[in-house]
Amino acid sequence: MDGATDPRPRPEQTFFADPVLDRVLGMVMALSAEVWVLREQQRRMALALERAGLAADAEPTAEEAAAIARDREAFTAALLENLLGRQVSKGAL
Amino acid sequence: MVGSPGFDAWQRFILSAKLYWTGPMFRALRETYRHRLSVTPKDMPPGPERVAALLEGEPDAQIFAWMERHLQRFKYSGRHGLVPAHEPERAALTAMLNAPLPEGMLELDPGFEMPRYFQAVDIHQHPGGVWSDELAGVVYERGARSTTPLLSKDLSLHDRFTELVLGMKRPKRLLDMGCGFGKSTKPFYEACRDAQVVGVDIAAPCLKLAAQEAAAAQARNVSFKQRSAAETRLPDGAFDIVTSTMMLHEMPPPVIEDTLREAFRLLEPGGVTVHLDFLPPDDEFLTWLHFGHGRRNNEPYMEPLARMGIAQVMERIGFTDVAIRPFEEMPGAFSRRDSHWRFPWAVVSGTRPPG
Repeated sequence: MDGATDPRPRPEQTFFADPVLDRVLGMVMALSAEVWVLREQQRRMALALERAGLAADAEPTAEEAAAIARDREAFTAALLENLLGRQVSKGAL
Repeated sequence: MVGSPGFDAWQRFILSAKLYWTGPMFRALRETYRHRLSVTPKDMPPGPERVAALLEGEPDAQIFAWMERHLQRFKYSGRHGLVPAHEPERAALTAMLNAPLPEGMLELDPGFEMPRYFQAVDIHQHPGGVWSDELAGVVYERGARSTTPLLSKDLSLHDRFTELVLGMKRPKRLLDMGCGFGKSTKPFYEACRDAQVVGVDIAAPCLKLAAQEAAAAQARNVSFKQRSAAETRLPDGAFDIVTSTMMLHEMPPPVIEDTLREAFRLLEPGGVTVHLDFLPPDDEFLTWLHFGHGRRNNEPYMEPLARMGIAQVMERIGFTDVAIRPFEEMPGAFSRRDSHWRFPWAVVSGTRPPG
Protein backbone atom coordinates (compact mmCIF):
# COMPACT_ATOMS: atom_id res chain seq x y z
CA MET A 1 0.00 0.00 0.00
CA ASP A 2 1.36 3.45 -0.84
CA GLY A 3 0.20 7.05 -0.92
CA ALA A 4 -1.85 6.41 -4.04
CA THR A 5 -3.91 3.57 -2.62
CA ASP A 6 -3.95 4.08 1.15
CA PRO A 7 -7.65 4.58 1.97
CA ARG A 8 -7.16 5.70 5.57
CA PRO A 9 -8.44 9.19 6.48
CA ARG A 10 -5.57 11.64 6.43
CA PRO A 11 -5.27 14.05 9.35
CA GLU A 12 -5.59 17.71 8.35
CA GLN A 13 -2.46 19.86 8.49
CA THR A 14 -2.10 21.95 11.64
CA PHE A 15 -0.43 25.33 12.06
CA PHE A 16 -1.02 26.33 15.67
CA ALA A 17 0.58 25.02 18.85
CA ASP A 18 -2.83 23.79 19.91
CA PRO A 19 -4.52 21.92 17.05
CA VAL A 20 -7.89 22.73 18.56
CA LEU A 21 -7.30 26.29 17.38
CA ASP A 22 -6.93 25.03 13.81
CA ARG A 23 -10.29 23.34 14.01
CA VAL A 24 -12.11 26.16 15.77
CA LEU A 25 -10.79 28.74 13.33
CA GLY A 26 -12.21 26.57 10.56
CA MET A 27 -15.61 26.77 12.17
CA VAL A 28 -15.31 30.54 12.64
CA MET A 29 -14.44 31.03 8.99
CA ALA A 30 -17.25 28.76 7.82
CA LEU A 31 -19.70 30.71 9.97
CA SER A 32 -18.33 33.99 8.68
CA ALA A 33 -18.81 32.89 5.10
CA GLU A 34 -22.36 31.81 5.89
CA VAL A 35 -23.05 35.22 7.45
CA TRP A 36 -21.84 36.86 4.26
CA VAL A 37 -24.09 34.58 2.19
CA LEU A 38 -27.05 35.71 4.27
CA ARG A 39 -26.06 39.38 4.05
CA GLU A 40 -25.77 39.23 0.29
CA GLN A 41 -29.05 37.39 -0.11
CA GLN A 42 -30.78 39.84 2.18
CA ARG A 43 -29.47 42.75 0.18
CA ARG A 44 -30.55 41.22 -3.10
CA MET A 45 -33.98 40.58 -1.68
CA ALA A 46 -34.23 44.19 -0.64
CA LEU A 47 -33.30 45.25 -4.15
CA ALA A 48 -35.96 43.00 -5.60
CA LEU A 49 -38.60 44.36 -3.26
CA GLU A 50 -37.61 47.89 -4.14
CA ARG A 51 -38.35 47.04 -7.71
CA ALA A 52 -41.98 46.56 -6.87
CA GLY A 53 -42.39 42.84 -6.87
CA LEU A 54 -39.91 41.96 -9.60
CA ALA A 55 -38.46 39.32 -7.32
CA ALA A 56 -37.41 37.05 -10.19
CA ASP A 57 -35.21 39.82 -11.55
CA ALA A 58 -33.07 40.36 -8.48
CA GLU A 59 -29.78 40.62 -10.35
CA PRO A 60 -28.18 43.86 -9.18
CA THR A 61 -27.23 46.56 -11.65
CA ALA A 62 -23.53 47.09 -12.27
CA GLU A 63 -23.58 49.97 -9.80
CA GLU A 64 -25.41 47.91 -7.16
CA ALA A 65 -23.07 44.98 -7.73
CA ALA A 66 -20.11 47.28 -7.17
CA ALA A 67 -21.68 48.48 -3.91
CA ILE A 68 -22.18 44.87 -2.79
CA ALA A 69 -18.57 44.12 -3.67
CA ARG A 70 -17.39 47.10 -1.60
CA ASP A 71 -19.54 45.90 1.28
CA ARG A 72 -18.05 42.41 0.96
CA GLU A 73 -14.48 43.72 0.98
CA ALA A 74 -15.25 45.79 4.08
CA PHE A 75 -16.97 42.85 5.76
CA THR A 76 -14.01 40.61 5.02
CA ALA A 77 -11.47 43.16 6.19
CA ALA A 78 -13.38 43.81 9.42
CA LEU A 79 -13.45 40.09 10.07
CA LEU A 80 -9.88 39.25 9.18
CA GLU A 81 -8.11 42.26 10.61
CA ASN A 82 -8.67 40.62 13.99
CA LEU A 83 -6.18 37.98 12.95
CA LEU A 84 -3.40 40.50 12.37
CA GLY A 85 -3.10 41.23 16.11
CA ARG A 86 -2.29 44.91 15.59
CA GLN A 87 -3.47 47.73 17.85
CA VAL A 88 -6.01 49.99 16.21
CA SER A 89 -5.36 52.80 18.68
CA LYS A 90 -1.94 53.45 20.09
CA GLY A 91 -1.47 51.75 23.42
CA ALA A 92 1.51 50.43 25.29
CA LEU A 93 4.28 49.00 23.11
CA MET B 1 -26.51 27.65 -13.44
CA VAL B 2 -24.13 25.80 -11.14
CA GLY B 3 -24.43 25.88 -7.38
CA SER B 4 -26.70 26.27 -4.42
CA PRO B 5 -28.40 29.63 -3.83
CA GLY B 6 -25.52 30.70 -1.65
CA PHE B 7 -22.75 29.30 -3.85
CA ASP B 8 -21.85 32.50 -5.66
CA ALA B 9 -21.96 34.60 -2.51
CA TRP B 10 -19.83 32.05 -0.64
CA GLN B 11 -17.24 31.88 -3.41
CA ARG B 12 -17.10 35.68 -3.60
CA PHE B 13 -16.47 35.83 0.13
CA ILE B 14 -13.68 33.26 -0.11
CA LEU B 15 -12.12 35.27 -2.92
CA SER B 16 -12.35 38.46 -0.86
CA ALA B 17 -10.72 36.66 2.04
CA LYS B 18 -7.97 35.44 -0.29
CA LEU B 19 -7.41 39.01 -1.44
CA TYR B 20 -7.04 40.10 2.17
CA TRP B 21 -4.59 37.25 2.75
CA THR B 22 -2.72 38.28 -0.42
CA GLY B 23 -2.36 41.90 0.75
CA PRO B 24 -2.59 42.87 4.44
CA MET B 25 -1.74 39.42 5.81
CA PHE B 26 1.24 39.05 3.48
CA ARG B 27 2.54 42.48 4.49
CA ALA B 28 2.07 41.74 8.19
CA LEU B 29 4.03 38.53 7.84
CA ARG B 30 6.78 40.21 5.84
CA GLU B 31 7.05 42.94 8.47
CA THR B 32 7.33 40.34 11.22
CA TYR B 33 10.01 38.49 9.26
CA ARG B 34 12.03 41.69 8.76
CA HIS B 35 11.79 42.54 12.42
CA ARG B 36 12.89 39.06 13.45
CA LEU B 37 15.74 39.22 10.95
CA SER B 38 16.92 42.54 12.32
CA VAL B 39 17.39 41.05 15.79
CA THR B 40 18.96 37.78 14.61
CA PRO B 41 22.66 36.99 14.94
CA LYS B 42 24.37 37.62 11.60
CA ASP B 43 26.05 34.22 11.52
CA MET B 44 22.79 32.37 10.79
CA PRO B 45 23.10 31.15 7.18
CA PRO B 46 20.47 32.67 4.88
CA GLY B 47 17.84 30.52 3.21
CA PRO B 48 14.31 29.27 3.68
CA GLU B 49 15.44 27.21 6.67
CA ARG B 50 16.49 30.44 8.42
CA VAL B 51 13.09 32.01 7.71
CA ALA B 52 11.38 28.93 9.11
CA ALA B 53 13.49 29.21 12.27
CA LEU B 54 12.87 32.96 12.60
CA LEU B 55 9.12 32.61 12.21
CA GLU B 56 8.69 29.45 14.27
CA GLY B 57 5.69 29.97 16.56
CA GLU B 58 4.93 33.46 15.19
CA PRO B 59 1.15 34.02 15.09
CA ASP B 60 1.42 35.93 11.79
CA ALA B 61 3.08 32.92 10.19
CA GLN B 62 0.63 30.45 11.69
CA ILE B 63 -2.38 32.45 10.58
CA PHE B 64 -0.97 33.08 7.12
CA ALA B 65 -0.40 29.36 6.65
CA TRP B 66 -3.79 28.42 8.04
CA MET B 67 -5.56 30.86 5.73
CA GLU B 68 -3.66 29.64 2.70
CA ARG B 69 -4.55 26.04 3.43
CA HIS B 70 -8.15 26.47 4.44
CA LEU B 71 -9.41 29.18 2.11
CA GLN B 72 -8.50 26.79 -0.69
CA ARG B 73 -10.34 24.00 1.12
CA PHE B 74 -13.40 26.22 1.46
CA LYS B 75 -13.24 26.95 -2.24
CA TYR B 76 -13.45 23.31 -3.27
CA SER B 77 -15.17 21.49 -0.43
CA GLY B 78 -18.01 21.87 2.03
CA ARG B 79 -21.58 22.90 1.49
CA HIS B 80 -20.85 25.66 -1.02
CA GLY B 81 -17.61 24.26 -2.43
CA LEU B 82 -16.94 23.88 -6.14
CA VAL B 83 -17.17 20.10 -6.11
CA PRO B 84 -20.61 19.71 -4.50
CA ALA B 85 -21.88 22.76 -6.38
CA HIS B 86 -21.52 20.96 -9.71
CA GLU B 87 -23.26 17.78 -8.57
CA PRO B 88 -26.86 18.82 -9.36
CA GLU B 89 -25.80 19.62 -12.92
CA ARG B 90 -23.95 16.35 -13.43
CA ALA B 91 -26.22 15.00 -16.15
CA ALA B 92 -26.21 18.20 -18.20
CA LEU B 93 -22.48 18.75 -17.81
CA THR B 94 -21.71 15.14 -18.69
CA ALA B 95 -23.78 15.48 -21.84
CA MET B 96 -21.95 18.69 -22.72
CA LEU B 97 -18.56 17.03 -22.21
CA ASN B 98 -19.50 14.07 -24.39
CA ALA B 99 -21.16 15.99 -27.21
CA PRO B 100 -19.96 15.01 -30.69
CA LEU B 101 -16.72 16.63 -31.81
CA PRO B 102 -15.08 17.20 -35.18
CA GLU B 103 -13.18 14.13 -36.38
CA GLY B 104 -9.77 13.80 -34.78
CA MET B 105 -10.15 16.63 -32.30
CA LEU B 106 -9.99 14.39 -29.24
CA GLU B 107 -8.21 11.10 -28.69
CA LEU B 108 -8.70 9.45 -25.31
CA ASP B 109 -6.93 6.34 -24.08
CA PRO B 110 -9.36 4.20 -22.04
CA GLY B 111 -6.47 2.03 -20.90
CA PHE B 112 -4.35 4.95 -19.70
CA GLU B 113 -2.76 4.19 -16.36
CA MET B 114 -2.65 7.28 -14.16
CA PRO B 115 0.85 7.76 -12.68
CA ARG B 116 0.97 6.87 -9.03
CA TYR B 117 2.53 10.21 -8.10
CA PHE B 118 -0.56 11.90 -9.50
CA GLN B 119 -2.89 9.59 -7.59
CA ALA B 120 -1.08 10.03 -4.28
CA VAL B 121 -2.41 13.52 -3.50
CA ASP B 122 -5.43 15.51 -4.58
CA ILE B 123 -3.63 18.34 -6.28
CA HIS B 124 -4.75 21.92 -5.44
CA GLN B 125 -6.90 20.36 -2.67
CA HIS B 126 -9.36 19.43 -5.41
CA PRO B 127 -11.08 16.32 -3.95
CA GLY B 128 -10.37 13.45 -6.31
CA GLY B 129 -7.81 15.53 -8.21
CA VAL B 130 -8.32 16.77 -11.75
CA TRP B 131 -8.63 13.32 -13.25
CA SER B 132 -10.82 10.87 -11.29
CA ASP B 133 -14.28 12.28 -11.87
CA GLU B 134 -16.06 13.06 -15.14
CA LEU B 135 -16.68 16.66 -14.00
CA ALA B 136 -13.16 17.26 -12.67
CA GLY B 137 -12.17 19.39 -15.68
CA VAL B 138 -15.24 21.60 -15.36
CA VAL B 139 -14.63 22.04 -11.63
CA TYR B 140 -10.96 22.78 -12.26
CA GLU B 141 -11.82 25.37 -14.89
CA ARG B 142 -14.15 27.13 -12.47
CA GLY B 143 -11.57 26.91 -9.67
CA ALA B 144 -8.74 28.21 -11.84
CA ARG B 145 -10.56 31.51 -12.26
CA SER B 146 -9.63 32.42 -8.70
CA THR B 147 -6.33 30.58 -8.22
CA THR B 148 -4.41 33.82 -8.24
CA PRO B 149 -6.75 36.31 -6.60
CA LEU B 150 -5.14 39.40 -8.06
CA LEU B 151 -5.48 37.95 -11.54
CA SER B 152 -9.20 37.48 -11.35
CA LYS B 153 -9.82 40.86 -12.91
CA ASP B 154 -7.04 40.46 -15.45
CA LEU B 155 -7.04 37.20 -17.33
CA SER B 156 -4.18 38.03 -19.64
CA LEU B 157 -1.70 35.54 -18.17
CA HIS B 158 -1.98 32.97 -20.97
CA ASP B 159 -2.11 35.64 -23.67
CA ARG B 160 1.06 37.18 -22.26
CA PHE B 161 2.84 33.83 -22.28
CA THR B 162 1.66 33.12 -25.83
CA GLU B 163 2.95 36.51 -26.95
CA LEU B 164 6.32 35.78 -25.36
CA VAL B 165 6.59 32.37 -27.05
CA LEU B 166 5.52 33.69 -30.44
CA GLY B 167 8.12 36.44 -30.06
CA MET B 168 10.77 33.70 -29.90
CA LYS B 169 9.51 31.71 -32.85
CA ARG B 170 6.47 31.49 -35.07
CA PRO B 171 5.34 27.83 -35.08
CA LYS B 172 4.18 25.55 -37.83
CA ARG B 173 3.58 22.71 -35.38
CA LEU B 174 3.26 23.37 -31.66
CA LEU B 175 2.84 20.91 -28.80
CA ASP B 176 1.31 22.07 -25.52
CA MET B 177 2.29 19.57 -22.84
CA GLY B 178 0.01 19.20 -19.83
CA CYS B 179 -2.62 21.28 -21.59
CA GLY B 180 -5.31 20.62 -18.97
CA PHE B 181 -8.66 22.02 -20.01
CA GLY B 182 -7.04 23.95 -22.83
CA LYS B 183 -6.69 27.39 -21.30
CA SER B 184 -3.00 27.51 -22.25
CA THR B 185 -3.60 25.94 -25.68
CA LYS B 186 -6.36 28.26 -26.83
CA PRO B 187 -4.29 31.44 -27.29
CA PHE B 188 -1.90 29.43 -29.48
CA TYR B 189 -4.47 27.88 -31.79
CA GLU B 190 -6.29 31.19 -32.02
CA ALA B 191 -3.18 33.29 -32.67
CA CYS B 192 -1.65 30.79 -35.13
CA ARG B 193 -4.48 29.64 -37.36
CA ASP B 194 -1.99 28.41 -39.95
CA ALA B 195 -0.15 26.22 -37.42
CA GLN B 196 -1.10 22.76 -36.20
CA VAL B 197 -1.44 22.71 -32.43
CA VAL B 198 -1.55 19.55 -30.31
CA GLY B 199 -2.39 19.42 -26.62
CA VAL B 200 -1.51 16.40 -24.50
CA ASP B 201 -2.55 15.73 -20.94
CA ILE B 202 -3.09 12.74 -18.69
CA ALA B 203 -6.50 13.84 -17.36
CA ALA B 204 -9.38 12.80 -19.61
CA PRO B 205 -11.98 15.03 -17.91
CA CYS B 206 -9.82 18.08 -18.67
CA LEU B 207 -9.16 17.03 -22.25
CA LYS B 208 -12.86 16.60 -22.90
CA LEU B 209 -13.51 20.17 -21.82
CA ALA B 210 -10.55 21.45 -23.84
CA ALA B 211 -11.90 19.77 -26.98
CA GLN B 212 -15.43 21.05 -26.44
CA GLU B 213 -14.09 24.59 -25.97
CA ALA B 214 -12.06 24.30 -29.16
CA ALA B 215 -15.06 22.98 -31.06
CA ALA B 216 -17.17 25.84 -29.74
CA ALA B 217 -14.48 28.25 -30.92
CA GLN B 218 -14.65 26.53 -34.33
CA ALA B 219 -10.95 25.81 -34.21
CA ARG B 220 -9.79 23.43 -36.94
CA ASN B 221 -6.06 23.49 -36.22
CA VAL B 222 -5.97 21.81 -32.82
CA SER B 223 -6.27 18.29 -31.46
CA PHE B 224 -6.08 16.90 -27.94
CA LYS B 225 -4.63 13.56 -26.92
CA GLN B 226 -4.52 11.67 -23.64
CA ARG B 227 -0.81 11.05 -23.36
CA SER B 228 1.87 11.48 -20.74
CA ALA B 229 4.13 14.42 -21.53
CA ALA B 230 7.03 12.18 -20.57
CA GLU B 231 6.04 9.59 -23.17
CA THR B 232 3.87 11.11 -25.88
CA ARG B 233 4.39 8.41 -28.54
CA LEU B 234 4.47 11.23 -31.09
CA PRO B 235 7.08 11.15 -33.89
CA ASP B 236 10.65 12.44 -33.54
CA GLY B 237 11.10 16.05 -34.62
CA ALA B 238 7.36 16.55 -35.11
CA PHE B 239 7.23 20.06 -33.63
CA ASP B 240 9.06 23.34 -33.84
CA ILE B 241 7.78 24.56 -30.45
CA VAL B 242 7.01 22.53 -27.33
CA THR B 243 5.44 24.39 -24.41
CA SER B 244 3.94 23.72 -21.03
CA THR B 245 2.14 25.95 -18.59
CA MET B 246 2.11 25.16 -14.88
CA MET B 247 2.88 21.50 -15.52
CA LEU B 248 6.46 20.86 -14.41
CA HIS B 249 5.79 21.60 -10.73
CA GLU B 250 3.17 18.85 -10.70
CA MET B 251 5.79 16.18 -11.48
CA PRO B 252 8.58 14.61 -9.43
CA PRO B 253 12.06 15.48 -10.74
CA PRO B 254 12.69 12.16 -12.56
CA VAL B 255 9.47 12.68 -14.53
CA ILE B 256 10.39 16.31 -15.21
CA GLU B 257 13.69 15.12 -16.62
CA ASP B 258 11.96 12.48 -18.78
CA THR B 259 9.54 15.16 -19.99
CA LEU B 260 12.31 17.57 -20.96
CA ARG B 261 14.07 14.71 -22.75
CA GLU B 262 10.82 13.97 -24.57
CA ALA B 263 10.52 17.64 -25.56
CA PHE B 264 14.03 17.46 -26.99
CA ARG B 265 13.13 14.33 -29.00
CA LEU B 266 9.93 15.89 -30.31
CA LEU B 267 11.59 19.11 -31.49
CA GLU B 268 13.02 19.48 -34.94
CA PRO B 269 16.57 20.90 -35.00
CA GLY B 270 16.35 24.59 -34.18
CA GLY B 271 13.07 24.10 -32.35
CA VAL B 272 12.46 25.68 -28.96
CA THR B 273 10.90 24.48 -25.75
CA VAL B 274 9.33 27.03 -23.40
CA HIS B 275 7.83 26.24 -20.02
CA LEU B 276 5.92 28.63 -17.80
CA ASP B 277 6.18 27.52 -14.20
CA PHE B 278 7.20 28.58 -10.72
CA LEU B 279 10.76 29.05 -9.51
CA PRO B 280 11.39 31.16 -6.43
CA PRO B 281 13.58 34.25 -6.80
CA ASP B 282 16.78 34.79 -4.83
CA ASP B 283 14.85 35.87 -1.74
CA GLU B 284 14.76 33.62 1.30
CA PHE B 285 11.40 34.88 2.53
CA LEU B 286 9.65 34.37 -0.81
CA THR B 287 11.34 30.99 -1.24
CA TRP B 288 10.16 29.89 2.19
CA LEU B 289 6.63 31.04 1.35
CA HIS B 290 6.72 29.22 -1.98
CA PHE B 291 7.87 25.93 -0.49
CA GLY B 292 5.17 26.26 2.16
CA HIS B 293 2.59 26.92 -0.52
CA GLY B 294 3.52 23.63 -2.18
CA ARG B 295 2.89 21.74 1.04
CA ARG B 296 -0.27 23.61 1.94
CA ASN B 297 -1.86 23.41 -1.48
CA ASN B 298 -1.09 19.73 -2.09
CA GLU B 299 1.56 20.46 -4.70
CA PRO B 300 4.46 18.46 -3.24
CA TYR B 301 6.82 18.82 -6.20
CA MET B 302 7.11 22.60 -6.16
CA GLU B 303 10.10 22.48 -3.84
CA PRO B 304 11.84 19.59 -5.64
CA LEU B 305 11.42 21.45 -8.95
CA ALA B 306 13.04 24.54 -7.44
CA ARG B 307 15.92 22.50 -6.05
CA MET B 308 16.65 20.19 -8.99
CA GLY B 309 18.70 22.63 -11.09
CA ILE B 310 16.48 22.51 -14.13
CA ALA B 311 18.82 24.59 -16.30
CA GLN B 312 21.64 22.10 -15.76
CA VAL B 313 19.28 19.22 -16.51
CA MET B 314 18.28 20.84 -19.80
CA GLU B 315 21.89 21.45 -20.78
CA ARG B 316 22.72 17.84 -19.96
CA ILE B 317 19.91 16.71 -22.27
CA GLY B 318 21.40 18.80 -25.07
CA PHE B 319 19.44 22.02 -25.10
CA THR B 320 21.36 25.20 -25.84
CA ASP B 321 20.49 28.82 -25.05
CA VAL B 322 18.93 27.61 -21.82
CA ALA B 323 17.42 30.53 -19.95
CA ILE B 324 15.31 31.13 -16.88
CA ARG B 325 13.53 34.45 -16.76
CA PRO B 326 11.02 35.87 -14.30
CA PHE B 327 7.59 36.27 -15.87
CA GLU B 328 5.30 39.19 -15.16
CA GLU B 329 1.88 37.57 -15.14
CA MET B 330 0.00 40.86 -15.24
CA PRO B 331 0.97 44.47 -15.84
CA GLY B 332 2.68 45.90 -12.77
CA ALA B 333 3.06 42.56 -10.98
CA PHE B 334 6.81 43.00 -10.43
CA SER B 335 6.32 46.34 -8.73
CA ARG B 336 3.99 44.72 -6.18
CA ARG B 337 6.45 42.02 -5.19
CA ASP B 338 6.95 43.59 -1.80
CA SER B 339 3.34 44.37 -1.04
CA HIS B 340 1.37 41.38 -2.27
CA TRP B 341 1.76 37.63 -2.33
CA ARG B 342 2.22 36.28 -5.83
CA PHE B 343 3.42 33.12 -7.48
CA PRO B 344 7.08 33.25 -8.51
CA TRP B 345 6.33 32.88 -12.19
CA ALA B 346 9.28 31.94 -14.35
CA VAL B 347 9.86 31.00 -17.98
CA VAL B 348 12.31 28.20 -18.66
CA SER B 349 13.41 27.87 -22.27
CA GLY B 350 15.94 26.10 -24.43
CA THR B 351 16.73 25.33 -28.05
CA ARG B 352 17.42 22.04 -29.75
CA PRO B 353 20.61 22.87 -31.63
CA PRO B 354 20.20 23.16 -35.39
CA GLY B 355 21.70 20.43 -37.54
